[in-house]
Amino acid sequence: MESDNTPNSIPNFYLATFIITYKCPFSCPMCFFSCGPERNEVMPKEMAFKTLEEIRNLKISTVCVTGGEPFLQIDLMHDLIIKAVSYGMTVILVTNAFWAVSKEAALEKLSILKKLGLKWIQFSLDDQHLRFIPISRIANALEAAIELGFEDIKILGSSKGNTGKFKYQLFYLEKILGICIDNVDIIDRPHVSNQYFEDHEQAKFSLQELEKTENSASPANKPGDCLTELLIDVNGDVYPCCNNFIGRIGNVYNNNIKDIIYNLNYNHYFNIIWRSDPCKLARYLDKTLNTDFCDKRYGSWCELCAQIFQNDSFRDLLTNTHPYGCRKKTN
Amino acid sequence: MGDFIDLITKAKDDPNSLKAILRDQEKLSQYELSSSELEALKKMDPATIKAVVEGIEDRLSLASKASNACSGGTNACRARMAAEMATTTQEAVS
Repeated sequence: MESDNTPNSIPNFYLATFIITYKCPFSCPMCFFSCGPERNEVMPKEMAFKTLEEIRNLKISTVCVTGGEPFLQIDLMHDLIIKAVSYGMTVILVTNAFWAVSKEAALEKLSILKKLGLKWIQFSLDDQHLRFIPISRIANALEAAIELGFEDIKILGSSKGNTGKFKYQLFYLEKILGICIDNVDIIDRPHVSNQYFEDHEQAKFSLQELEKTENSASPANKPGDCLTELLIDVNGDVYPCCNNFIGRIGNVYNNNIKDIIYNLNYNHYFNIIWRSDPCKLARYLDKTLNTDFCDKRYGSWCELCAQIFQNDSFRDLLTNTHPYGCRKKTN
Repeated sequence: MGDFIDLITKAKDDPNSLKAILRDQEKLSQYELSSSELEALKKMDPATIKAVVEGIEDRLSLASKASNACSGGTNACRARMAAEMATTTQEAVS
């Protein structure tokens, strides 16, 4: 494996996402965190503020506030936005827009956020959310955000995986509800979730195919591309990715973010993923620990990571406390 | 039982089928349409529906290269944001 083990090889993180609550009005099967009405976990404000300050000190200048549904923790959501804006950070808010029961209601809620300094906002639009939320609410929220002049408005949907309806949902927004989405950024993501993994609905590629394919199965253009986001979970766990399929790299109650990132440099398994991709890690684990990841099929790198790290033995593979996780620092 | 989006899906694949459904009350009742949806549909030319949806498909095909693949959808790993963020964690950590 690599001998380069200096701090200069630490990955760059461009964004830190705060999962401020698991509570959500709805339980969607594709939800990374199994959020829902029965979940009551909330990120403590002190922990959120302390972590935000550490992130600021690391010169990560963009934060994303999400959940669960962040509007269900409206005080914490507002406080985080105010604090991040006071640090000069750009804030992205991700919401399902359940609260946009009318355009007036949407204008009222979003104008407060605009005044707090929020510039980027992102609305979920997919089959699962639409089972619970009328598309008219997404339209109300979009219309209000456009009218208020948010700098960046995104629709987060999916035309892959389990649904082919995204384009028709966009058609409905434009042609039936009359929302001009020309200047709205559309994110078309692969559907990945624990439940879909279990159903094997996306299990299309062998490991060899996954390594070669350059289509939507690859979440990145080059090695390390997808490890550019820090995700701070409600309980303080930190992930080096936009979701918790990958293993956690530490917990903010045990270490500061700076040390957590620094320690990655000495984690053999993280370096394999970062310098190559999860396929190489799968091959390495099969070879050294007699696993059988190479024999299975996967829909994407994300799914492969999930299969590896949801295994109890490997959940903490990316922390240096794991028995396999450390490697000796070379001199 | 379908909905408006199911009906549009059908219309895109076969524009004539939409015309046939709109003429047939029994078939139409299989779709849960609001009065405004029905009104809008009657005013639409199926060929236009097909053209508009194909336009959206084109947009999505571009989006899939520009901003796809981040399963969390926060888009952090895409070039746009990376280009905007000039400072690095490297220098801050080391």
